[in-house]
Amino acid sequence: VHEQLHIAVDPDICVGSATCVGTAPHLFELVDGVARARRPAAAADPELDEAFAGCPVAAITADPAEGG
Amino acid sequence: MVTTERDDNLLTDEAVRDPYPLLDRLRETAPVHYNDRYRSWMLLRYEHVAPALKELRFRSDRITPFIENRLEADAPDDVVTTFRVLQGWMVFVDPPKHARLRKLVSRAFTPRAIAALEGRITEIVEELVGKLPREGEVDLVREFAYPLPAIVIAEMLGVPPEDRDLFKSWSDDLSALVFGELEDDARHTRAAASMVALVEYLEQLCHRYSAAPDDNIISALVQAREGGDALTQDEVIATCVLLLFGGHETTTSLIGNAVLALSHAPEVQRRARNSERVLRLAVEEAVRFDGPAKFVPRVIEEPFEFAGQAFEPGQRVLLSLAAANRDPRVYDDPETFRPERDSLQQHVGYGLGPHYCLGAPLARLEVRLALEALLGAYGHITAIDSDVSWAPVLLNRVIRTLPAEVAGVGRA
Repeated sequence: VHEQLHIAVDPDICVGSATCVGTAPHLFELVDGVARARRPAAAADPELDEAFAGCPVAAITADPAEGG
Repeated sequence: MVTTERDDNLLTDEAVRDPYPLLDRLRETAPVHYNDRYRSWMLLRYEHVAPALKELRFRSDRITPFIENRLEADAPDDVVTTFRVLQGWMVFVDPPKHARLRKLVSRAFTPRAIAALEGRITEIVEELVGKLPREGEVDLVREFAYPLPAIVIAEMLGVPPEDRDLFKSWSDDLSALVFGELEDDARHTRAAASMVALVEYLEQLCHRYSAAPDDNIISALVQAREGGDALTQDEVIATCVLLLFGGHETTTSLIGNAVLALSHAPEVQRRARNSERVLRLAVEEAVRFDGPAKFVPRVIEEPFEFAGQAFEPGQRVLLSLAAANRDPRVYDDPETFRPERDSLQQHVGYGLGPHYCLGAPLARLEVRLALEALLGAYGHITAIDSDVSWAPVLLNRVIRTLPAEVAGVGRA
């Protein structure tokens, strides 16, 4: 069973460094200079963890999804 | 292009001491203009600076065109060496190459990796504060804000403690080059000798950690070079020089400017002494209020329009972080140092976009620990304003001396 995580980037905090896009391009994209999750949920993986930990302003949240 | 006589000399004694009245005037009267004195466009309002920082057509590689167009064919070898190293700095590199460099280095600077350094940085801070006088006059730049970030970044890179002092002169010389004017030949020559010595020294460290890796950034870069995602030797050296330099003087200035701001706001000083929340906000507000960068430069490679103006290839653009961070359209009472602001609007003191300051998490931690230690050690810190001095450079706000009267005990 893979735990699903809700992934979100707070657009008010994001500074557009695109660190997450470089680390986990399958999960994040840059739109108009602000990062956003490509899909709302994903299984935990090392690149997600690195993107989460690597955000210079801690704009990324990755929380366990309901019933995950 | 219409040009008018403007009071726009940012290098007068008065403007070096306090650039904000002039930046305010330029922002309000000529928010987007071509500046004849500095042969550059200047953007000063938040509404233009913030999107321009994310606009990749404002390019960061201002070194390659300089080498191709401006550097004399018969320039001395050491001058050429300096510019070849600078060319590899990721601050001067544009995507996609930039992303590769940044990704390799960024692991050492994630908030998580930086948080793990808190204990060691606290030790360094306490060692330095322990050497300060209990009361009387002290230059808080020379005795504290200067050595702290130098020791931290040198340790992170893997520089042995006995070699720390070598970096002071090198960093000083390179600072004049990078934060000054690229057109000044005398600065090139002075920086060049230091750059050559520094490059040779770093090559030795690379060989040492290649043979016997340790827990430091040079080891990580060397291993990355030997792994799949390879850095060239030039890139490893260039990245080390950038980190050594970028992690040093900017943080010195941020600590110094923050202490100065607190000195002028005794009530904030008192609140920050008693509340970690206020202290953290004060660190962030210091970056907005009087951050280390007045301008960041960009160059135009292809023609395009921005803010209703036509930008042409070869033109230089100065984005004023300092002016944008005091834009009254964005911040209430912008000239007041007020950590507990209602507005959550992000400042642009660390930049925005792909060149957002890699070292921001480290700067936040170092400055917080530095202020916490000073506020804990002293009940009163009062800058001797007439003797505070800054380097006469255009781009950065480099504090050189911060004599202060210290007294009392901050916390029992």
